[in-house]
Amino acid sequence: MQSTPAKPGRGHLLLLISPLLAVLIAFLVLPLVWLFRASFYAGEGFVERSGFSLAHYQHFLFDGYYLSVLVETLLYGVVTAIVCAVIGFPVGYSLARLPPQRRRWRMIIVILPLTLSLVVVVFGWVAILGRSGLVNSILVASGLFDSPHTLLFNKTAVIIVLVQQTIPFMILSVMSVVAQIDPVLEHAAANLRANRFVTFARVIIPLAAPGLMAGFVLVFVIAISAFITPMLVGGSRIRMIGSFIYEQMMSSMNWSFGAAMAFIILGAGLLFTALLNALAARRFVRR
Amino acid sequence: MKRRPFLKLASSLAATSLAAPSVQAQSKKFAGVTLRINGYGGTYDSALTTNVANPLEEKYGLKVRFIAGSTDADLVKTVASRDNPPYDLFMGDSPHMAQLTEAKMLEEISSADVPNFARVFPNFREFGAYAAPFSVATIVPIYNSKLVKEPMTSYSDIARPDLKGRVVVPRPGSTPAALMMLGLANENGGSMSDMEPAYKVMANAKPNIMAMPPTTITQLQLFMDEEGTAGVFWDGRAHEMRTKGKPIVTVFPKNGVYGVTSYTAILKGCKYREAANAYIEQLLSDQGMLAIPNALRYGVTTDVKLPDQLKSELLFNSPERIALKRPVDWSQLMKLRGEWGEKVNKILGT
Repeated sequence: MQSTPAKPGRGHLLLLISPLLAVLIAFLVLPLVWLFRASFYAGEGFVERSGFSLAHYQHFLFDGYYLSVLVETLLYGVVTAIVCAVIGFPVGYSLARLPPQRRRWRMIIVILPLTLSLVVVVFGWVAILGRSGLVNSILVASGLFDSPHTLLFNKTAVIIVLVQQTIPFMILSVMSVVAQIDPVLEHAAANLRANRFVTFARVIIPLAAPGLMAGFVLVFVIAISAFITPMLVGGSRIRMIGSFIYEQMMSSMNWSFGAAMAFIILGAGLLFTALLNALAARRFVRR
Repeated sequence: MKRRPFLKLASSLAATSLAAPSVQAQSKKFAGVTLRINGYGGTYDSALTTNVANPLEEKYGLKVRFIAGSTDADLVKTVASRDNPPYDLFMGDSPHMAQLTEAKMLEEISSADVPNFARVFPNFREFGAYAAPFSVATIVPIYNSKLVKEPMTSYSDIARPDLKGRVVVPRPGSTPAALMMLGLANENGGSMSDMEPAYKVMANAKPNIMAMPPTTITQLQLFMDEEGTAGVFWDGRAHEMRTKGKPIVTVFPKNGVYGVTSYTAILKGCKYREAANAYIEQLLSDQGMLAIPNALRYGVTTDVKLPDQLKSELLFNSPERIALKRPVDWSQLMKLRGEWGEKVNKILGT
């Protein structure tokens, strides 16, 4: 006779997660608390760390320029997430419907870009889209262009690179949810004379919505915090808040203003995500 | 010889030959010591390795490790962990040293411990005995003579209509960008306290400026790829590109130029003070002092004798040119450069 294993107590569970908790507290919570405090320092330098002031938040929130940068950053996040959803959903869906042995290599291809350093990936794009890069060489050799064109330093280039960096998160999120949807439901819809589009819109999408939403939020959050991509691929006219934070922290040495900007984008990102979740819950969750 | 004595002799010889190098290494003054220094990367670090680190290892058994990265980021890391800094010595330019001096993080260097320190020209001792100056780098206008037909003559030429979409300048808020702004202001009747003329030039240059890379290496890459054809850059890096076959011309504006002095300083908390002194001594020796001019054509800070060929290729190679090097109030510049960067971002981004 088999005995049922004893249910672990609350104390045991706490003990099991304590190493993770310790790491999170030491390397995430404490630095965040310190950064939050730094955003209220009175001075602008990074040597003096004292006083309490709301000046840095005021500086950002009452300056139309910075507000427009914030809006532009959120827009980049939304556009990137939408493009990732459009491209990533079919990939995630097809991977979920494949037998495990055929899925393995495709999964490796999807995950591979995540194993590379972001700087390496961005430099790769600079090499591909540069004047002496692959794309220009092909276009000139094929006679489409007379001479190399500047393909970098514009919004499209930034979106392309952000999509390439974040699309694995969308694909994996969609795949994990679609794999749980019983294919019988699609057959049932077909039996009820629903065409492919109706099945997709009224059966697959609502059921895959949690995965789509999770992917959207992940991609959005990663995209709005990007700083290397806008700096290296975006040129002088692409404004994303991540590169402004980098500039304040590393060049201007104004840690307090940089910290304030970091918390403003964190707050804006959380608010946007919460709104999105509430909207999705109203649209897809039936009570 | 019989077998047993032969084996004894052979084993003693083998043991002696194996032990000899280690005994010799142990006998060297700084054997087993490794100094950590933040590096500038590329040609800079390799020149210092060949002419400063390697001789020290040969002579004293002292190892020197250059940890390449962005100097601004290195400074932030160093100040953030001031009780246990990540480096023994800090290599940085005038503004970095101004920050470290203000943070009281530097050890004093004495000529008694470092005799070559006495050879430093007085006008390069911007931070007294707290940092050893070893080269002078200047921010100058540059252009690719193959792609830019009309030669540039000043910083303000970045706004010329024929350079539309091809100008690369340093990222606003950084030291080289601040020096460029001083150059623009100086050429157009402004000054550190009146930057309006410089902002006007930046507004006119807006259609021309394609990129403002965050690091020297990325800016260099854009010129090497001929993505950028003109801009403002370090004179030594322009020389580096010429050695790699790019027709890059360095311009010496007649109204004056702005530059930084590069220093190495000993950080408080350095565990190997004596070894750090030995590093500075070698850095300021003839061999160490010529390392950077030979590799990058940056200027010198001591009375070292320059070979004629090298002298002719340095930016400051005559009293007339030296007179055109404009002085900078670094503590004031550090206070203002964030504000200038913000203004330039607003001009270019809206």
